[in-house]
Formats: sequence, C-alpha cells, structure tokens
Amino acid sequence: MSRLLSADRIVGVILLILCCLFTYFAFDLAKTIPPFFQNQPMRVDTLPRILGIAGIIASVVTIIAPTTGSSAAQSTDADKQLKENQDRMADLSFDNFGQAKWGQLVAMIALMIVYSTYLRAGGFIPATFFLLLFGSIILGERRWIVMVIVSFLAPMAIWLLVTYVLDRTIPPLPKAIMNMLGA
Amino acid sequence: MMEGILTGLSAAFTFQAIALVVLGCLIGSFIGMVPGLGPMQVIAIMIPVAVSIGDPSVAMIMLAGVYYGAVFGGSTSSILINAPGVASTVATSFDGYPMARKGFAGKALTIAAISSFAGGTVGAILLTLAAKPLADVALLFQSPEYLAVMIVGMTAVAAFGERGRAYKAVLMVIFGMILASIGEGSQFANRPRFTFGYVPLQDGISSITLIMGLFAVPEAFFLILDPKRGQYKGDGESKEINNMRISAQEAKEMAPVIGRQSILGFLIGVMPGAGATIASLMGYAMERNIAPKEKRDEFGKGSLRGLTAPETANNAASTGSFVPMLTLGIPGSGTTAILLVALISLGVQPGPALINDNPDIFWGIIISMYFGNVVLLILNYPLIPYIAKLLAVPRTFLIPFVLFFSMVGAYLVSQNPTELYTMIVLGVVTTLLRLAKFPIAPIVIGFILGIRMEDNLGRALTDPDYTGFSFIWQRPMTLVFLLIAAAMLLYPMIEGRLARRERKKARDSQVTQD
Repeated sequence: MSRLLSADRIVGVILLILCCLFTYFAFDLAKTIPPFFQNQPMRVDTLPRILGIAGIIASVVTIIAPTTGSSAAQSTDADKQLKENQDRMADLSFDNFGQAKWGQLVAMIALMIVYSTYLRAGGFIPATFFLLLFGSIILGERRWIVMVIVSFLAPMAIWLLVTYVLDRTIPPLPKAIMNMLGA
Repeated sequence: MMEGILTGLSAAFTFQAIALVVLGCLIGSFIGMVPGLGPMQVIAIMIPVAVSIGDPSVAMIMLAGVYYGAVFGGSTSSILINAPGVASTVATSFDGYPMARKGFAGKALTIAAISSFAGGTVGAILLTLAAKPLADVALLFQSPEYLAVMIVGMTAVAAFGERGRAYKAVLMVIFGMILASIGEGSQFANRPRFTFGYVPLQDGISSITLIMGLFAVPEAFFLILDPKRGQYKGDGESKEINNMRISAQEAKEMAPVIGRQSILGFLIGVMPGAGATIASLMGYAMERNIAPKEKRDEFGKGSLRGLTAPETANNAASTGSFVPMLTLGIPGSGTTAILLVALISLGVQPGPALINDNPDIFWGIIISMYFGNVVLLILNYPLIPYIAKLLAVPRTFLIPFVLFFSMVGAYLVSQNPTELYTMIVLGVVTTLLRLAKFPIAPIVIGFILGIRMEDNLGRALTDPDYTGFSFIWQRPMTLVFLLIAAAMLLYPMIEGRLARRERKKARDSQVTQD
C-alpha cells in the first residue's frame, strides 16, 4: 500500500538535490567558455544541461510515483515458485536492515580508507598483511595461526604476480626501507 | 565471413590464447561458484589482469573464457548447494537442486554441462551468422542514428527492468551519464568539467574504478551485512557426486528442449536489457507450460526438462548479448557493459567499425566462444567435484580478499589513492542504492554510453546539413529509433497504470458486492 516515506522517495529526494546542484553547475559552466566558443552549436555544457534537467524530471517522477507493492499478480504455481526463488536472491532491504551487521561494515570501510591512505607509505606487503588480518578480525575470525599465514602469504603471492606476470611496479616495502635499500 | 573466421581462428589458436582461455574458464568457474560473485564481479576483478596482457584480442578471449566459466560455476553451486551464484542461474536451482537431493547430483551436472554447451554453441553459431550482416547495416549509420540507437539501448535497459518501475532505471542511467561527464571525456568537452579544481578528477572517473565500486565492493559489503547471504534453503551440505551418465532416453528428451531454448534464449539475449536471467526464467516457464501433463508435474521436483531449459537458455542469451555489443558497441547487459569497459581500456574503439578495423578481436571473441564451451565441457566437467570442495572458503577470509582484489585492481589504474577513495565512495553509494532496490547495471551502461553519446550528439549538431536538432526529423531512421525508444519508455508506465486501475476496479466491485 501507499506509504509516504519509502526507500524510493528517500533516494529520489537525495538524487533530486544532487541533480539540482549538477544542473546549477552545468549552467554555470557557460561563464568559463571563451567568447569564440559561445556560439558553437555543441558546447561543453550542452549535454550536462540536458542531463541535469532530465535527472530532475526522473527524480521527481520517482518521488511522486505511487509506492505500491509488487505489481505482478500471482496466478499460477509456477509464478509463485518463481517469485519465491527470486526472493531468495533478493538483497536485504530497508525493511529488514536493522538485523544487518552495520558495525562490521563501518569498521571494514574504515579499514579500507586506512589501507588506501597508507598503501604507498607503508608498502604493499605490510599494508596488505594488516588489511587481510584486520579484515578477518572484524568479521569475527579467531583462528590466529591460519589468519597470520594467509595474510602473509597472499600479499607475497599477489606482489610476485603483479610484478613478474603483469609487469607492473608496486613498492613492496615501506617507503623508508625502500629508500634505505636505494630502490 | 570465411576470411573473418580464419582470422579469428588464428587469433584464438595461439598457445598464449589457449592457455589464457583455459585459465580464464577455471578462474571463472571457481569464483562463479561462490554465492554472490557472478560474471560481473569476476570480470571486473580480472580486467586489470586483462589490461596488463596488452594484446586486445588475447585479453578479450581470456575475459570471454572467464565469463563462460562464471556462468557455468553459478550453475554448479545452484545444483549442488541450492545457492545460485547469480540471478541467471536461479532457475537452474528449481529442478537442479531437487535432482541432486534425490541422489542424482552427477546426472544433474551432466545435464547442465551439456545444455550449457549446446546453448552456448548454438548461440555462437547464430552470432557468427548474424554478426557480419548486422555490422554492415550498422555501418550505414551516421551520428544521428548512433545517438538514437544508444537512446534505444538505454531505454530498453530501463523498460526491461523492474516492472512498472522503469523510471528508477532511467534515473540510474542518467546518474551514470552524469558520472561520465566529470573530467575531460568527450572531444567536445574541450576542458575538464565538474572537477572543482581537484586535479586527480581531471581525467574523470576511471571505468575500472567505477565497475569495482559498482559491482565488486558492494557485493562484499552485502556479504558483510548479511552473514546468511548465499546460504539458501538447502541443507548446506554439498551433495555426493556419483554417476555422471545420462541414458539415451534422457538425451532424446533433452534434445527438443535444447533446440527450442537455444534459439529463444539467443533472441532474448540480443534484445538490450533482457539478458540471461529473463531468458532462463522464460525458458523454464515455457517448457513447463508446453510439457505433457505427467511431465509437468515433475517440474520443481527434479525435472529433466526443467533443468535443461534454463541452462540452455541462459547460455544462449549470454552469447546473444554479444550481438549489440560487437556490432553496435552498445552494451545490452551489465556483463557486456563491463566487457566493453575492458575493450575500451585496451584502447579499442567498439562499434560497427570493429569488424573491419580489428577483425582479429571481433572474430577472436566469437571463435573463443566455441572454444570456451569445449574447454568448459572437457576440462571443467571432470574437475567439478574437486572445485566444489573449495566452495567451503569461510566468509571471514573471502570478504577481505574480494575487497583486497578490488582495491589492487583500482590502484593499478594510476597508483593514486584517489582511485581507491572514489571506489569506496561508489561502493557505499551503490550499497545504499541496492538497499533501496534501485538497479545498478543501468549506471554502468549510462556511464559507458555517456561520452560516446556526447561525441555523436556533437557531430550531429555541428553537421552543416542540419540546423540544431533538425536531424531528428531530417533523418527518418533516427526518427523511427527515437519513436521506438519513446514507446518502450512509456509502455511500462502506461501498463502499470492500467494494471492499477484494473485492480482498483476489481476492489471497488468487490466492496459493492459485499
């Protein structure tokens, strides 16, 4: 049944705000175009303007569209079975997200940001060792010996693969040590 | 065509290419078995490897191998543990898992392998026949037609999305195009846009970073959020794989199903937006409806036809979805969109000119399909029982590894932490969008087509033959395409409205009767 506050509407409103901002900047672009290009039929801001306005329209439609449940009427057993099996593949949704492991997710995202920031300074192998080790810890793994071995061997293997098979360079050790080694 | 096939053969039958197809099939089947990780995630993770190979035809042949492997791996986990790795193999579990529970796991895997092989091969033959003529027609297109065909592709993706919710998909396509307009992409955007003075944004968002952020990272996030994800109704045990033989009687029953579903699946796959998932569900429903009464009752309880149909159809459709990708350069599905990202990252311009400019790539991919199907059948099939044992990787190790591979992949693009931050932000945004049930594949399709649409719009607008947007009515083909697009966009909305009105009427009449 129709609800005033639904996931569609929340996302719709956020995207509407973003599209309005985008449209503002798209129209603002005109100021940066040199006079010679001003009268060209195709300008740097032509498509962004169209996109911005189309985005606003699409978000408004998403917001005002009625939020009824699934529209497909289920008539036969096969349909029901299909539906049931599709539901098994379904994601979590806004309705049941209270049970989700949000703490673990936030911790993991924080870990990813730290890894991204210190990957270069910390060196690929040590940084990845800590990423994999702490990643497992966050998810509740406590088999320490397995964790340490896996976290140590995996970055070594991947580094060798990247360096010798893919022929790309990633500094394996912390910057300070690499500098000392004169690499 | 013969010449093309020979070119493809010489590209696909080098030692390097063969080794990489085999490797790709193995990696694909292994990762594809992991619930939640399907072709899109596997290919996304493998793109940096493909780009490092350098030779576009060999790299694409490998990725094609990864693709078939992943589709096949998804079927295996559907049958053995009732955990479809991806939506396109959900229908496989309807009858595959009951069959395995009855003690016929080996037979179910054989049926799946044969059906996949047949569906994929028939699809490849149809693709071989259709590719050249279609590409020839596409060569007649000028910028206005391209623009219009791209709009048709995008609206088709939206129209085949969630029923009555096409506007959500449209919004996602626009979102993807907005992301594409950041930085300097199009030749008409002669200076960086929307960078706000932030230098790393000048080149725009890298497409590899984008697909990692849209597909691989959110999948890992969902696995974190929902520990039960991927553990479906099955009893959690891998089934004993025993006798893998099928009888002549069973083969006879499969043959007509394979014949029908491979052609139907291929045709569904050709349509943009309707991929392997829709083909497999439609194939299942169709075979159920046309089966004789006593056979119909077996559906859902381990029916031979019920397993053959979706397995044939999804593989034929996967092959069919290469048609718009190879001939027009327009991705009809999330998976082909990701393959296009790979193609573009390898420095190849997709489009109808591909067949003439890079025949080795064009035909190499097609030939690799035959080859990949054979590899899957003879190499993977005996290995399944062993690969299936590896399924037991605990999520506490799996998730950090998926995230690690995604981050290494994005980092290799430019060795800049900005790529990683962008990927994390995209991952978080995508996770929220998926929670709100917004479709994700349209974002990558919008992203890929965004810049190319801008180029074609620019060429059409600056063409002295037309004034402004007059090309829309000056070129009849363009007009027809745009009308098709409008019809596709409006039809689901009108249909949804009509259905609601019908229901309301039915309710009202019920109320008055009471």
